[in-house]
Amino acid sequence: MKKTGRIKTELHKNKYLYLMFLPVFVWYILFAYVPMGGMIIAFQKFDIVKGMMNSKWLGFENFRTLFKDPYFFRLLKNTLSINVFGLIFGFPLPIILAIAFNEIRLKRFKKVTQTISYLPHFISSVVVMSMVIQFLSPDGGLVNGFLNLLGKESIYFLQIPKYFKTIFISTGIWQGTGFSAILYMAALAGIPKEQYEAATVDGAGKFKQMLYITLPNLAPTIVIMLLINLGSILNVGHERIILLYNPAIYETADVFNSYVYREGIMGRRYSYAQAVTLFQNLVGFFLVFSANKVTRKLDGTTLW
Amino acid sequence: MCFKKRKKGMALLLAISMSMAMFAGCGASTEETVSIGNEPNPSTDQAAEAPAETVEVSMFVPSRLADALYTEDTMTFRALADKTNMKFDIQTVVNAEAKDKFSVIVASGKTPDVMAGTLSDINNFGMSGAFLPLDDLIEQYAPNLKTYIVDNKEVLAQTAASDGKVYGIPMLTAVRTAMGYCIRQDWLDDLGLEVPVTIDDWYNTLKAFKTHDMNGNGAGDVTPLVLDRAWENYFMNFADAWGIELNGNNDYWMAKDGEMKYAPILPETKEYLATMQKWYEEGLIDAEFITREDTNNYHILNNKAGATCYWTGYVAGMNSNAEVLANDPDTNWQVIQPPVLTEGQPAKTFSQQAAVGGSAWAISSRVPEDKAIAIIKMFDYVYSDEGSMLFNFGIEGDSFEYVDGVPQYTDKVTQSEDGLVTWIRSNGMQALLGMRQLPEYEAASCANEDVKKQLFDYVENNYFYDINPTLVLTEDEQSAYDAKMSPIKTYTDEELLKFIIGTRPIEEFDDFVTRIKDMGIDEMIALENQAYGRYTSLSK
Repeated sequence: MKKTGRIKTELHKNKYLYLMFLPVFVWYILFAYVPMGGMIIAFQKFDIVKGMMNSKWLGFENFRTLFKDPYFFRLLKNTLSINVFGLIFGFPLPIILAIAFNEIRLKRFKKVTQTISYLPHFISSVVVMSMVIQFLSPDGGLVNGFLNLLGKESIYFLQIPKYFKTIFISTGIWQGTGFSAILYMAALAGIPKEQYEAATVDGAGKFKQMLYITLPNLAPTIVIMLLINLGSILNVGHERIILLYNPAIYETADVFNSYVYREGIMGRRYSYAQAVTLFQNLVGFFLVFSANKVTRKLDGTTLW
Repeated sequence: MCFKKRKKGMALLLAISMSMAMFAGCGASTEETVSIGNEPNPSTDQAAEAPAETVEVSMFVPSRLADALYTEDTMTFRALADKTNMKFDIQTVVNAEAKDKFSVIVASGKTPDVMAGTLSDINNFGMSGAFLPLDDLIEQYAPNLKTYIVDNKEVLAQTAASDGKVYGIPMLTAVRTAMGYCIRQDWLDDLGLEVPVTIDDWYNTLKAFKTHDMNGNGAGDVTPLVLDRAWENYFMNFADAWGIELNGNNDYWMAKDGEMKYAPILPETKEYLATMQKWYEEGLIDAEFITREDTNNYHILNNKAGATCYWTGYVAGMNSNAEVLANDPDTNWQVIQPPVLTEGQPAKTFSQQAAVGGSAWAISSRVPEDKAIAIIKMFDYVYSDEGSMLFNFGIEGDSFEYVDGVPQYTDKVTQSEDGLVTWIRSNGMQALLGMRQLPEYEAASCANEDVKKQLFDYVENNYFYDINPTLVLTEDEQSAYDAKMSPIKTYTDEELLKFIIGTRPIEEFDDFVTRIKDMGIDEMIALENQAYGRYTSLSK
């Protein structure tokens, strides 16, 4: 009785906050939790006409097919390396960019450059990838034009497997860095001015301030972003891949999501596609879970 | 198709719930049947015998054009409804989205009475119980369907599902011509060259296009041979000369010497690839053919193509394209016979339109029998001569008239602002459903006599190999096939391209074959031959 009473007063006190939260709550139940039931098709031979209730039960057959697929390790390798290299090169950049923006004193200049930096995020992937294809074309493309100027031969970037990851990751960085920096900018805005003032009085320079004030204050945000990124370590968005790859470079370009797109969606193997996706997400969940444990031990920053 | 895979279940559910809501809306409005006050056309057509009372029929039909989605008032559907005394309730999306929409509707379990989609989807879902088997209905009520589908063994074999039943009434194509070997005749004349016949001739011709200044921009500006991978994914046409078809869209299967074979591992493929590798290396093939989209438009419009393998009618039509003529008023694209290895060998190509096109329509299994009878009669009317005229030419006196007994589109159509093809498609002709395309339509829609001549050239000379069938597998065969064949197909796609662009030396071809055998191709070949046995027994 006492407990329900407490909930009642809590609800009453913050009723507008809860009212605002309600749509989000409903959305999550409807579109995130209810559909999870659909994961069951990963264990079935799902038949659209018969539906989830009447489709044949297969157990782990779809997972066995995946692990036996001759390309399983190639998919794993490509997906992991795109994400790991993407993290190594792409993760620190928004942090550096945010700190740099934070140091700019000219308000107008800061606003303009910041806007320019996050604009690419709003360009459709289709457009970005067409631009990439154009730039890299051996026939009048910007990059090869430059190589030719230096007296070098044109390179068919999109036909040679070894270039793909570099192209893909740097495109991602170009498109995403500015936008990701917004989050860190917000965190930076929350650092109390007094800390910097005290440091200045103590004679700490800009670099020392960054090292001992800015970074430690950013640390929780950085750790949380890293944890979130770990969760999608086996996910590489298929849209950008399929816009850029072709069979001649599958060797380095084919990832789980593009494979699922080809086999599962185009080939209508829904159950198999769901099995692959479930596998990807289980790995992601496991990684986040363990990494969360580690960071909790280290400095107490956790996702939950 | 752009939602993230992870959220697939969610998106599907969302789509399903939306479509359910939509159907609920339909169900609620059970208004009384109002017969439309149009006078029925006097007709002696037996099949078109209209039912006494207006029948309400809901249907899903993909539209050809995004900015002209079909409605109940679209010319052909309005006329069809009047003729068969029906009241249509049409749902539609543009064709590019139709395949997804189709499965979502079927998954909702609330299919409209009539569904148009791809024949393979209809057959698959039909065998799962979504659509009615039509064999008995055709036998009893549909003389035209019987004549054109059941009595024509070739058509029947291509139409029936793997259980041998007919679930969908397919679109029948009129002209077998698909992609032809097209060349700049005016450039051949400029160089004083003969039309190339053998593969060696082709090599010399392409080499000449490469080394001479053909378009006034200096030697080497021209792409001697344009191949299109990015759009059609049908670009290994020159394998014709070796008598094989390397068609990734059909998983590279071909019928040869009375059995199904996996074309990429045949010795002919090695010779073909060696030739292509040489051509590619010497710059005779577009260096960027793998990635270049819309390559034919790019090359032809810019006066940069010497030869191409592409849709014959389209390339022939380029001779009167304003942009092309502005670049070179003498442009003269001509379709020539397919290449051969040695002179005297019969010239043939595998590229052709199957008698049965990919589209079809079917009756939902939820439809009661009397309504199904009315619908099959309506399907039959569309297949009749009168119905065929409606879906090819529209309405006499309005969109076409007979000139010396030959149907011709009226000025309203030919002079329309967006051009003939757009007008036809906007008004529901050539809809993607079970209709017969008429050769007269193909002829009448040709821009001029030369295009018509080129379009029918391969037909008249019979430059066609027997078509390689797309076989239908049973449910169990399909599971085994999917699990093994997907990696094999992926591997083949990759390596064939690598051989052509030379990133893999042709000496390694035997390793390639061994690898494919290790991946289990023999088992797949056995599966395909089982299916082929069923296919041939139907077409006997």
